[in-house]
Amino acid sequence: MTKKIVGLSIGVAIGFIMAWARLSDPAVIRSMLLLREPDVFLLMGSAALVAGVGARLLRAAGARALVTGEAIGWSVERPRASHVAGSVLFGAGWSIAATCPGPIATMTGEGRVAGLVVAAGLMVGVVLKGAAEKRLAARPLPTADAAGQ
Amino acid sequence: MPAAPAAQVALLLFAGTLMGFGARTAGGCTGSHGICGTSLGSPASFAAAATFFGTALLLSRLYTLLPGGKP
Repeated sequence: MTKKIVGLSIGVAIGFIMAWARLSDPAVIRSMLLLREPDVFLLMGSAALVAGVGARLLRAAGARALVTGEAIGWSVERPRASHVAGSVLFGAGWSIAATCPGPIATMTGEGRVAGLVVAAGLMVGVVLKGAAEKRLAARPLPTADAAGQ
Repeated sequence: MPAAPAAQVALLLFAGTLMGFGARTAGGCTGSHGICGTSLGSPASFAAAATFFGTALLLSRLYTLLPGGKP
């Protein structure tokens, strides 16, 4: 129960910040992507700074995550081609919709139907990627199709 | 965005699909790679963030050149 309350409180706080910062307004994201307003960059930068300092302090203090109870710690990844290729697609979608996976929940809560439509698209994309991975895993040789079998 | 509501829905669905497929491929999005991953110093997140910012900034600029795109 405590976990649920903690989870809900964090969700409420994130939604509040997203709405307050107007990240749920595609016009705000659009003006950020056109480099007209620095506020979203400053918001993301300060969030990353606080998270970076905070996570290190919590790790040093041996703190545990509120929701999962796990010790706070992490490992980092080296860049792979999939990080770049996926991010090209993500950036293209981001530039069209002028919203991203975080703010769509806030948009929907504000009664912006576009949030729901983008969310539906996200589900489709995630499922498609999963299906593509499955197909690739089921196929022993990637050239089997190309060779016409 | 086009004026017709049906075209808007189709475009937003397409954009969402791109983001869903892309985020699952890249292992994260603006929040997870862009804020969390970079804050923890993950090189993969810096590569992902640089790529999606670069792509989105460039494309957004290009849209203003389209007929009907507001400069």
